Parts: sequence; C-alpha cells; structure tokens
Amino acid sequence: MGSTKRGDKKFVAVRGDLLQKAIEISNRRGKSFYGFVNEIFEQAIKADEMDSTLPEILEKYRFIETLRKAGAVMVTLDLLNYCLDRLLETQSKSLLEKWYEAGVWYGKYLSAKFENPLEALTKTLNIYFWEVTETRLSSNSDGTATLKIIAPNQSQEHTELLARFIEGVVNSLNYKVSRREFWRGIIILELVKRVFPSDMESEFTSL
Amino acid sequence: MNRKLLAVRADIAEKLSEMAKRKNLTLFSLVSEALEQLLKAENRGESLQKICENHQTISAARKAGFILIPESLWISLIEKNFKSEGKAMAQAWREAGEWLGHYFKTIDPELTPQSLAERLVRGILWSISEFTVSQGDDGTITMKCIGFRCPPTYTTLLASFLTGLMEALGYSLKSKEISKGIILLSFAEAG
Repeated sequence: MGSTKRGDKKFVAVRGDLLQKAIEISNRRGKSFYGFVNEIFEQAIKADEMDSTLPEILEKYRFIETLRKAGAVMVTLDLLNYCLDRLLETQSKSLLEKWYEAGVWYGKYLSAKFENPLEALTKTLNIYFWEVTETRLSSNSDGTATLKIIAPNQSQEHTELLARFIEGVVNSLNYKVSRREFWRGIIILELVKRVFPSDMESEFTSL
Repeated sequence: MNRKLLAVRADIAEKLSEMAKRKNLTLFSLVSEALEQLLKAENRGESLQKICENHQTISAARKAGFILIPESLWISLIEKNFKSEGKAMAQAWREAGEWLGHYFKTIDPELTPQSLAERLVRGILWSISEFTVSQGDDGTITMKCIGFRCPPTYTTLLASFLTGLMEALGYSLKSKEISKGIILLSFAEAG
C-alpha cells in the first residue's frame, strides 16, 4: 500500500448510471475522463480534510448563494462591532428600526425563494449569520412555534439588534411574536401564525 | 444495480478507501456519493470544484473574522462612521486582506497572486460585480473592480482589503484610482 506511485491506477466499482452521466459531463468540458474523475474524488478528500462532506458543502453553498443574492455582505466582525458600539451610544432607536426593516425584507425574500421559509431562516442563521452558533425551531402542542437562537459572543445590545432583525423576518413570514425573551447572546421567540396579514390584522380584530 | 469499474489514481483510491473505512461506508457508496454530488452541482449549472474552492475561501474568511450581514445595514454603518473613523476602518480592512493573503500563501503556496485575488473577490467580496486581474510583461499586476452599489466609503475599504492582500503576497502598491464603485490598482513586486 505504502509503495503506490502517483502514476499507478486502481479500479473502483461505481454505479453504471452515474458513471455514464459523469462521462457525458467530462466530454462536454473536453476533459479526459480519467483526469476529470480524479479531480472529483480529490474534492471529496479535501472536503474530508476540512471535516466536511460533499453533500454538506453543496447544502451550505446553496444557502450562501441565497444570502449573497439577498444582498448580504461579508465584513470583519471587529469592524462591525466597532461601528455598532459607536452608534448604539447615540442612535440605538434608529439602528433597531433599520435592523427590523432589514429583517422584514429578508423574510419577504425567503418567502419568495423557499417553500418553508421559517426552516430556511433557521438554516441560514445556523450556517453563517452574525455569530449565531445554534438555532432551534420547535412546534408546540398549542399550535405555536418556538425559535431559540444562541450567539454566545454577542453583547446585550447586539443581541437586541439581532432579535429585532429576527422579529422583522418572522413578522413578514406572517407570524406574530407572542412572547419574546432575550439575554446576552440568547434569544427566545414564541411565534403564532397570523390568521390575517399583519397590516390587516388590526382592522379585523377591531371588528 | 448496474456496477462498472472505473480507473482512479492509486493514491486517491487508497485515500478514498481509508475514508470509507473511517466513516463505516463501503468504497462503492462513497464513490457513488461523490459522483451524485457532481451531478447535483452540474444540474444547477455549477462546477463541483468551484463550489469546494468557494467553501474553502469562505471558511478561511470566517477564520479571519468575517461574518455576514445585510449590505444595506453595513453601508449605513459605514456611512455614519467613516467621517470620523475612516482611517482606522481602512486599516482594519487592510489587515484582514493581509491575514487572508498569509493564510492562503501558507495552505496553498502554489496559488498565483492573480488566482488568489480572483478567488477571494468571487468568494467573499460579493459587492464587486466585475473584476479583472492581469500581469504585465514587467511583472506589474493590475486589478480593475466594479461594484455598482458601493458608495465611495465602501469602495475605499474594498481597495484597502486588496492592497493588504497583495502586500502579504509580496507586492507593493504602485498606483491607485478610486471613485464611487470603481477601483483601479496596480502593484509591483516588492524589492
């Protein structure tokens, strides 16, 4: 085993239908099939070296693309925190409003892109969003849902901003926040599905 | 199920075999899974290699302290802070570029400065919609970036990032032109 040279070949068994499709792809790209499959398997090995798998990488890529198309940007956390802390001293109200509005927009975007936008929200939050390390969405027996978000490195003020963002998202997904709790780095929202859209709800409830 | 035999480089076949054992899978199912993912990527008009490369770039950016936020919020934060803190902000972006330059030089020393810059712009500087990088006969590297939505403040930060990146790769800034959403930079190999 240890004496294998780079030029040596070995045979591995694969599903015939997959092999046929892979041959078609390599032909389309004008590549030698041998070189092409080696590249593919090298990617599987690299993924493993990064403590991941190809299916996980593809899934993450799908959500990253969603966020990119939704107008997210990658910024340095230090700088974000620095800017936020300076503004929070004097403009916390307007920041909270802006975060809420950004959440409303993001919720609308998720509704347009996914069949289950609430689930997509938890996945995108989980994968990359703003220091979030854990997101849990559970359905309760009374028909409500509970969304729990953990971002342990966030300050109290930043947690409040994130909570407003999430509230914006869930409101535009037609959920009402019936209970809201947050501490530094922890957000718990209890959600109730609205019968009417939020802008019509006050009219109907007053009737 | 119809099975066929496929020739693979022996060192790769051995690594796959070890991986399959470790994950308690058969080599057949591991290899099939890789081919299935290739087809999934192709069906979406993407290349599996590019997706993996992108994953590596974003993972590196996260290690360098990058996170995601909505662009509208970020721009409003920069606009409000830039006047008093512009210099410090540009320095922070320059340092982030430098760190990523050193990181990739360490993990993938064969990457050329051009391909690394392309990879980072595509992978993490999403506000840049058009990017070209070329090397002249005298070794000068020229970068042209366009980001239609970038205000001058953010354009300045992005230029600082690219400058830091190139400095880490052994190039010094020769000239720069920055206007709203447009960056033209040229770099010479540091002596």
